[in-house]
Amino acid sequence: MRFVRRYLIPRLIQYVLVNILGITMIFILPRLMPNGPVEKTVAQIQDRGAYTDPKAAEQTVKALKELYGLDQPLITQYVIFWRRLFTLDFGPSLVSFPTPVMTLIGQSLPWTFGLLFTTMVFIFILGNLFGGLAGYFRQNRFLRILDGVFMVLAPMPYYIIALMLIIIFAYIIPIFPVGGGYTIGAPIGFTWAFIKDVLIHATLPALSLIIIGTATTHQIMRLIVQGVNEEDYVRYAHIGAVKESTVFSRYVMRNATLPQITRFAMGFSGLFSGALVTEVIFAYPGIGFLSYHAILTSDYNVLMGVTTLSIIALTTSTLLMDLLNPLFDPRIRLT
Amino acid sequence: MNKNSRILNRRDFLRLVGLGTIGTLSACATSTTPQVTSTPEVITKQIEVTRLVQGTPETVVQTQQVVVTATPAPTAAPAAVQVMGFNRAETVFIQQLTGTNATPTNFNYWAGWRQQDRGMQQVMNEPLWVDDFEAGKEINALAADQPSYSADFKTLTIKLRQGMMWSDNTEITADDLAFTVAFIKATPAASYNASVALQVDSVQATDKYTCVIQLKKPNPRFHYENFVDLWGSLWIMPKHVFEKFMVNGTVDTKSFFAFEYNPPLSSGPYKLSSLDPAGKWTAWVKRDDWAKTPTGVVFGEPKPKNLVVVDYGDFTSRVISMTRHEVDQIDLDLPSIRAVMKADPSARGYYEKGFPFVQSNRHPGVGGVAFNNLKVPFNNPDFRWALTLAMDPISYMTTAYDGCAAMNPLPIVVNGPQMIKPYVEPLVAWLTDFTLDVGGGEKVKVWDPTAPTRLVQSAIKRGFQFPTDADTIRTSFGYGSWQYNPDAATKLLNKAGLTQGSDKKWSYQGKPFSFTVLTSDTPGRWAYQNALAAQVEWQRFGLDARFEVTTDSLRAAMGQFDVFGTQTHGSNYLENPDLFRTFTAFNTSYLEPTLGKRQFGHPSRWTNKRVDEILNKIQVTDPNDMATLQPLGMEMLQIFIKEMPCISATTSLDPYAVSSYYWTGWPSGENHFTVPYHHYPNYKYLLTFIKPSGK
Repeated sequence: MRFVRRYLIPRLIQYVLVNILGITMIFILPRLMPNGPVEKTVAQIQDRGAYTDPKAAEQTVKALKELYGLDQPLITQYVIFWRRLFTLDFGPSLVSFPTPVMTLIGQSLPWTFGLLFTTMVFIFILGNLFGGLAGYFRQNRFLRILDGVFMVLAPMPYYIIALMLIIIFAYIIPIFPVGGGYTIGAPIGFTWAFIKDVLIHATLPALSLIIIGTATTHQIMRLIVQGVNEEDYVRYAHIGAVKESTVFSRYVMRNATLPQITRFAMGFSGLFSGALVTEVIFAYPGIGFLSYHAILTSDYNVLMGVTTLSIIALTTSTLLMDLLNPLFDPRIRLT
Repeated sequence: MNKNSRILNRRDFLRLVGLGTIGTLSACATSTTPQVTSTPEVITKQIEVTRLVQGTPETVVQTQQVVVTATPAPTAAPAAVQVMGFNRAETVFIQQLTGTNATPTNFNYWAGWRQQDRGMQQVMNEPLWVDDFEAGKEINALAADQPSYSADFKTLTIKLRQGMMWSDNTEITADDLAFTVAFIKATPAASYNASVALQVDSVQATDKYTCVIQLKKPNPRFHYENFVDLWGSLWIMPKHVFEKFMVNGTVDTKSFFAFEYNPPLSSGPYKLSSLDPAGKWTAWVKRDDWAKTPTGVVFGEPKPKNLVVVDYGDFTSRVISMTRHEVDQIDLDLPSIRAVMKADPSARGYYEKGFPFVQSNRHPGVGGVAFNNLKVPFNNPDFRWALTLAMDPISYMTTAYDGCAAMNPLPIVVNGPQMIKPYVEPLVAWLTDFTLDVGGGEKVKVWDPTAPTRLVQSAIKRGFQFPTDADTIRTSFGYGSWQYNPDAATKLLNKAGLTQGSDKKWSYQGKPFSFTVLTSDTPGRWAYQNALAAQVEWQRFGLDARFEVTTDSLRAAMGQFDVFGTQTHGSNYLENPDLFRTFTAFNTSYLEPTLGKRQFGHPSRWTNKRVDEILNKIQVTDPNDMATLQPLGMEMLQIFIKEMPCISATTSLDPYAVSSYYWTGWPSGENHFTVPYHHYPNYKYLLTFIKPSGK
C-alpha cells in the first residue's frame, strides 16, 4: 500500500498532467500560426495563377471556416476537442475534409508501425549484441572489423544509405522494387502472396533503417559495455574465476542493457511520428508523410491526432518502463 | 559442419548465413522487364507524323525528317510482360504530379481539393470545354459547340453533345448541367460555390441538351471562369447520384461533404479500376463504351487499356523506375532528365533530339520574380528597372534552367499561338526603340534581341546540338530579353536614391541596403529556380540579396517579402488573345493596401489607374472582339513593361521525361500536336495518338 500511495498514485497523476499539458500545447500551438488551413487552401488555388475575385474568396474562406467549425470561439473548440478525444475521435481532417483524422491515421499507421517496430526490434537485438560483444571482446579481429564498419556507417546521413541501397538493389542488381508498399494492382488480403509482396517492398526501407540504427546502437552499447567492464564487481568476478560467458551475459550485458531498454521504450513515440525521409525516398506509405502534409497545410486536426498519439505513446511507454524496471534491474525497489 | 559433434562452428554458421541470404534474395528477385543487351545507335530516317490541326479532330499526315534514337530490341521478349500486376503492353504508367493522395478513397471533387491529377481530370472526367494551349483554342468536350451569350452578356446558353454516357450507361443531359449549377449555388463551401453563387441568378434545362444560365451581372467570360478546363473547372455532376442530397432546393451539406463518391462515375473514356488505400497509386481501365464519350467522338479510341497514376517517390527513384521501364511519363528536374536519357536510350524529355529537354514556350503561366510594390524602394519603377538591367539573361537562364528554357520577358506567353500577331510582334517592334531615362537626361535602350541566339550559342559551346536558324531559335527560345547593362542599372539605382560606398556596398536612406528573395517552392520547381537565379544575378552585380525558402505558402499573399519567385501575372488561356484573365489580379478592386493583411490579387500588389480603366472596359467586351481588345491589351502590356512590377523570365516549366519503350507517338518539341503533359485534362486526347511499340 505504501508503494501505491507514495509512488504509483503520484506517478499516475504526473502521467495524466503531462498528457493534459502536452495535448493542450498541441491544441494551442498550431492555432498561433499566422495562417490557417482555410487560407492555405485558397492560396493553393491561387498558386496556379487563377485569381479569385476578393469577394468570392472571402465568401469561400467564411464558408469553409463555418464548415470546419473554426468560426467558433477557441474555448468552444477546445471543449469539443476534449469531448472527442475520449472516444479517440479527432474530428475531420480540415484539408482532406471530411475524412476523419482517425481514418487517415488508420490508413498510414499500420505501414509505419510494421516497418518501424520490426526495425526497432532488429536494431535492438543486433546493435546491442554486436556492440556488447565488441565492447567485451575488444581483441577479436572480426568484431574489430565490424566495429570499424559501424564507425563508418554511424555518422553517414541516412538518405545516402537509402539511395545507395536503391541504386545497388533496384538498379544495378534489380532484385527489389524501387518503391511503394506493395505491387500496384495486387489484391490486398491476408494471403501468403500479398505478405511476401509487402515483405519484398519493405526490405530496402527496413534495411536502410536497420543499417543506420544498428550502427548507432552498436556504438553506444560498445561504450556502455566498456564502462561496465571496468566496474569492481566485474573485476571481482574475473578474479573469482567466474566463467567468461557468465561474466559476459549476467554481469556485463545485463547491466549494460538497462539504459538501452529505456532508449528502446522511448523510441515508441517515433512509431507515431513516422520516418518521413524513408517514406519519401522509398515512396513508402506511412504516417510521416501524413504529419508533414498536415504541418505544411496547417491541418490542425491531423496534427493534433498524430501528436496526441505520439505523446500518449511516449508517456505511457515511459510510465510502463518506470513500473517494469524492477523486472530488469533487481536493485531497484519501488517502496 | 561437424557431423559428429552437432556443434555449429563460426565458419559453418557464416556459410549457412551466406547461402541463406543468397537463397532469399533469389526468391525475392523479380524480372520486371526484358534486359537490353545491344548498343543503341542514332539513325536518321523518314517518319510519318500525325498532326492535330488547331485542336480539331481533323488530322493530316506529314512526312518529315527527324533524328530518332533507335531502341534496341530485347534479346528475349516475353509474350506479355507483367509489370506491377498489369499487362505492360496495354498499360500506360505516369507520375502523379501532386504526389501521394491525401484522400485516396474520396472522389467527391465538388466537396474540396481531391488531387484531380490522380487520373480524375486526365481520363475520368470530360468537362464542357478543354483549353488546348498548344493549338491555341478550346476543344468542345461535353459541349456541342462554343458558348452562346446574349447581347447583354447576361444569358449564357450551352448546348450539350447528344449520346454521351456516364459509365453506368445513363445519358449525360442538360438536366445534369442545370442540376450541377443549382447544387453548387446552394452549397456554401463547395468548390466553385463562391463564383456561381455571386454570379448566377437562375439556371434551367430548356430541353434535353440545352441549358440556359441567367447571370446577375453581364459577364462574357463566365464560361472561362467556371467551365473551361485548364487544370480543373466546374465539372458536371451526375444528377442521379447527387440529387439525393438536394431536397426542395436545399442541400444536406453534412451528408454531401461526407459522401466519398467512390466508385465515381466517369464521363471520360476510362473508369476507376483499383486504388491504393495508402494513396500511392490509382488505376483506371478503358470503358467498353469509350465511343460514347467526347474523347471517343472527337479523337477516337484511346490506345492503352489501362492507365495507372503513381507516386514514384523522389527523383532518384523516379529515374530508376524509368530505366526499368516501369513508367512511361514522369516529372523530373533537368539533371534527372539528362540522367535518365543517358541510362535509357528510349527515354527523352520534350524534344526528340535532346536539348533543350523541356517545353518552355507554350505553358500558359509565365514565371519570374515579383517585387513587393508597397515597400520602399521596391515601389519605385527606377529601382525595379535597375534590378532588371542588373541581371544577365544568359547566366540567369543557366542558373535557373541550365540554359534550357525559352526567354519570356514579356508579361505574355511569347510563343502562344494566339499571342504572336496581335501582341508579341507589335511589342517587339515597339521595344526596339523603347528607352529608359536613367537620370541626367540620359536615355538607354533596354531590349536585347540577340539574347536567345547567345543562349543557344552558349549551349552549343557546352556540347549540345541545336539548329541555329532564327525561326527555330525564336520558336524555342523566344524573341529577346532585357539587356544586361550594369552601368545603366547603377545609374538607375542612384536615381532611385541608393548610394554605393567606396567598399562597393549599397546603402539606402543612410543604412546598408539588403533584401530577400523569397520562394515557397522546392528545388527544381520553376518558382524556386527563378528566385534563386535572380538572387544569384543580383549578388553578382553587387547588391546584398539574400535567398530565403519558406514552407509558409501564405507569406507572399500576406505581403511578407521583398521579392518573390512566382507567376508574374495570371495564367493566359491562350485560346484567344483576351488578356482579361492575365491582368485582372492587378485591378485595384483586388488590392489589400495594408501589408500583413491577406491579398487576394497578385502578390506584387501593383496597381495602375489606367490599367483599372482598361480592365473595366475589357470586362464587358466580348473576348472575341479583337478590334476592341487588341489596342487595349497593347496599352496594358506597355504600361506593365514601363512600370516593371514583376520581372517575367520564362513560361512555367513542368519538366518531364517520356519513354518510347512500350508506347510511341508522344508529342514533342518537333511534333507538338497536343498538350504534352500527363497531368492535364488533355491527356485523354493524347492517349488516342500514342501507339504500342509492340514489346
